[in-house]
Amino acid sequence: MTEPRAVAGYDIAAQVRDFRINGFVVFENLIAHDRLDRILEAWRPIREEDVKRQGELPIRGRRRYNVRVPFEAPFVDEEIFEHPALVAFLEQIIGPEYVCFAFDSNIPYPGTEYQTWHRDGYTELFEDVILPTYQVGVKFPLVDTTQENGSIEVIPCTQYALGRDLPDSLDDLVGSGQNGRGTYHPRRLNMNKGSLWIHDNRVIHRGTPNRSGEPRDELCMPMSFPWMHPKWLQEETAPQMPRQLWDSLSDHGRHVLRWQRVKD
Amino acid sequence: MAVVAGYDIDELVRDFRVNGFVVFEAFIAHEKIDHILQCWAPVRDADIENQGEFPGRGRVRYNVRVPFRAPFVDEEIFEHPALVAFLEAELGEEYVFSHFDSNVPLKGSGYQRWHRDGRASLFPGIRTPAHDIGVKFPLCDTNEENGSFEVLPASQYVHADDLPQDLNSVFGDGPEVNGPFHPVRLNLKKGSLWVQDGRAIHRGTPNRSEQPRDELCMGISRPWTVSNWQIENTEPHFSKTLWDSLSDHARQVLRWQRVKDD
Repeated sequence: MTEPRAVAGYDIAAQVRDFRINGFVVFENLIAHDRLDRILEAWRPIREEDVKRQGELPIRGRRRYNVRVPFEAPFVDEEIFEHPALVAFLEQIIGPEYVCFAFDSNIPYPGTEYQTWHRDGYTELFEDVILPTYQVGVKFPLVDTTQENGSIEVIPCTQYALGRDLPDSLDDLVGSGQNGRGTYHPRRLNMNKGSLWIHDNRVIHRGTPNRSGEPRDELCMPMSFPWMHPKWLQEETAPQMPRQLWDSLSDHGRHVLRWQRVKD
Repeated sequence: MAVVAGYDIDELVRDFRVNGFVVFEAFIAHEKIDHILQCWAPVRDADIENQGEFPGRGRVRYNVRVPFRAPFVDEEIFEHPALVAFLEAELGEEYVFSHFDSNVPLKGSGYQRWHRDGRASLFPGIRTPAHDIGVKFPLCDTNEENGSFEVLPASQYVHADDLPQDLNSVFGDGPEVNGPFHPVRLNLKKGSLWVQDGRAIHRGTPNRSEQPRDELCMGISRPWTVSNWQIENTEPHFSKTLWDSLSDHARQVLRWQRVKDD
């Protein structure tokens, strides 16, 4: 595979390098504001309905929600997930056969606290073997994310740490809430609206308190090598992608979404 | 761990890691195999009729899905303590039984092409331990006449980057095996169970006998390995009565199967 450098104004080689070191990377100004506003408008009632259903104490902690995103317009948007810079980046990191296997969200409501430090998904494929990236979260907030509204916190370069070197509770390692132990050096990811960021599922991260008056919405399209088991699709087997949307996608868009089940 | 139910697990694991396959001899009682074959023959025949003379694997060489029901799903086989100990050592305690199919050459089948099952290499340039294993048991003796398997030992770690798409161009066609390569014929006694790293290079051989050479194959993998069959087949299919009769560990191993009410 040839390695493109600049694609649509993004230096892909530098982004790939930074990702392989840090375990995350930000693509700034990738999504137009009016597009995000349209998404937020369509998203709000879906999110609110599911938040009501989940109640005050969902699994991620008080008022911290993961709401499934429908595989429908305007959320499934080729201007975002098929952006040529993103495609070029993902092909480098998880190969040209990569798939999008789910679509969900991270939403701290006002009144949330610190999340516990954690990693997502399978954190070790083979015991004691350090491997390159196999799964990423492709995430885009629908608003600016700040100290006030609960931006994400990440500990750079932790994606390669082996399970045997970590305690069961990562809070024991890093410190809980505001009480960092000082040995580790988390970074707060305050992002401008329009940014899209990508993280290796293994990089250690957590949500922070939202002390603003508004939910801090972020949508997440997880992507992986095609040999990873798609847990969500194992559990959610009903066709959910509208035929009309499917038919409107490019060949590559359909390739990335090929595991989603189309409904007539 | 060493010996479990008479099998030296450490030795079997070592041999598997070197060769890419290993045989558990005298593993299944003959009367159990006979009973399975009796129930299997009509299932196999019906599907063969459906597939016709030229299925995907070559003339009269069939892969028939095995129903997840008794007597095929049998804890005395897939939950045999020696097999569980082996699979836990090789794939970790969270392994899953993802799909169930078969290899059935009929009389008149030819040589299969040299191939590997599933994905040969997960990452460019990196070789990894086993992630996907075929646990297979023939329902008869397998031999030179009825199309026993041929395997190229220790080939599981060869990276896909180092091989062409067409493995026959390297290893040879039909009875001709290219000089530098040394496959072995796996003639198994009825009652044997063999375990194969999907990446080990292998092929079926001609069945010149009068009978089908039936072998059932349980696809077992690390929990993060995709099973395409499960992506494509999402209907509940696993009998609730059978599910309820299983041990906790058997249910854990089969946890990806979708249970239907009887």
